[in-house]
Amino acid sequence: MLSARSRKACTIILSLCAIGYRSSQVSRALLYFIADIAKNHQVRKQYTIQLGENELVLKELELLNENSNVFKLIGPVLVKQDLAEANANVRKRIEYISAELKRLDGTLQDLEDKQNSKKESVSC
Amino acid sequence: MGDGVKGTVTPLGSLFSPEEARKAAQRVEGAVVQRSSELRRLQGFVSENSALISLVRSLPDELSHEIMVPFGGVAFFPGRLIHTNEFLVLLGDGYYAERTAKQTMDILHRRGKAMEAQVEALKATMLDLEAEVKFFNSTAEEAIEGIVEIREEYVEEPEKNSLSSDTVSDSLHSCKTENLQKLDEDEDEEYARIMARIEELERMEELENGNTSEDNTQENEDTVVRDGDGGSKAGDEDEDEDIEAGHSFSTLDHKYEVIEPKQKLKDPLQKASDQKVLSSFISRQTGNISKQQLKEEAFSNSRMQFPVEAHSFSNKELSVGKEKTASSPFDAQSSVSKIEDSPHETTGQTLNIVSRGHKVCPFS
Repeated sequence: MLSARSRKACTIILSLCAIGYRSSQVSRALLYFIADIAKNHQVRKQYTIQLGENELVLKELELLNENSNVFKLIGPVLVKQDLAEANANVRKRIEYISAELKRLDGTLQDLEDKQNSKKESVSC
Repeated sequence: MGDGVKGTVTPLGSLFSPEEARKAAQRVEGAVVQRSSELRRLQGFVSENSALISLVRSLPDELSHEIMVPFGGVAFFPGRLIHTNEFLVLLGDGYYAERTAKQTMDILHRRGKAMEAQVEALKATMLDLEAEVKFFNSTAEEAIEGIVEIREEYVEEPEKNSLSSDTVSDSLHSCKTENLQKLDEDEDEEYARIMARIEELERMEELENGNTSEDNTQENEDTVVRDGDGGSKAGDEDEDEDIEAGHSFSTLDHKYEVIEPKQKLKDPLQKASDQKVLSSFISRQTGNISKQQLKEEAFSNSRMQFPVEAHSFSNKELSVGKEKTASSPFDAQSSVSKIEDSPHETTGQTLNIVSRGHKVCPFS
């Protein structure tokens, strides 16, 4: 799924080729940036999906009665879990994923800035 | 016609080359295809979910079901399904909960709703992308057709005393002028009607407001004059314009500013109160663009009241900038529409006109 940013990255490559830009070193660096950004996007997408899933789980757990059985699938084993414990675990996971997403956002921003500055230095 | 107006003609093809537009359209189409496959996947999930709901609903009907139990990858053996009301439902992320059939159905319902919301969002993004594709394709076609973008410096023509719209120059609008001349008179009459109506309303309001209106007019006159100065500086060329008339009214306050036409003030003024007559005389003599906050103003005399410029305004401050419309035909419709719609300010020094193929007027 091409997001707007990765699409932009591709257009940058295309435009570079279009103007017949030859210098291999700098173009390699730019490609490196583009690859990094794409990877970042991929990881971000994963995390976003997981975050959504965990939020659904939390909602369902809240709707459970106190005496309901909750199990967790760890490998091939279904392990009985305490409802309160499961709630806490899911909440912690949600926090962790949100923090990771923020970190990735920061990294992405850095990468984009570096890429832009590199592009400008190239075009000058 | 051109009168030494400098202009640039740029074919749309040079700005947006057709190949690039096509490439962009293709890229977006690729995204659309991806989204549509995703959409199909989600719709599959939705249908699976509803099938599961019906199964879960039917299972507790019997104490036990006779079934063929899958054994390994390729074998089955006959068996019985017991505990038909107990379900281990996957909540997500490896968590299971033991629930009854009814509770399971509730969970599945909620899941179905969430998925449908996702489907709707995806459909919306797909619509946007498709609109983008259409736009790119149409741009490419236009570029191929050779449609040109014409930009001209807008030079304010010195207004002559004759009030006919024929004297309004500007070659670009001449064609439209000719077309719209016939509409002129109709528009003017309509305009007069509107102004007469406004005048009535103003009178009624004034009857209610009484003294307060006077104070308001005083204040607004001050602000207006200040704005007038700013406005007149904005458009230097028309210091000596003979006819300036325009009108604007703010929807918020139901006040309006009227720029007095310098000529033929007699008719409107006869209807105005004394104070306002005086102020309007003063405005005429100053020879600048002045605006007056008049509670009642007879803005009649449609024919000659359409000058080259109308005044636009910003709703909040009632400040008026200058906006030049090239010819009177625009004034009635455009100024009225502008007043009724969201107000905006234009500096109006250049006009960008993208001429469509069949409406391009040849420069003569």
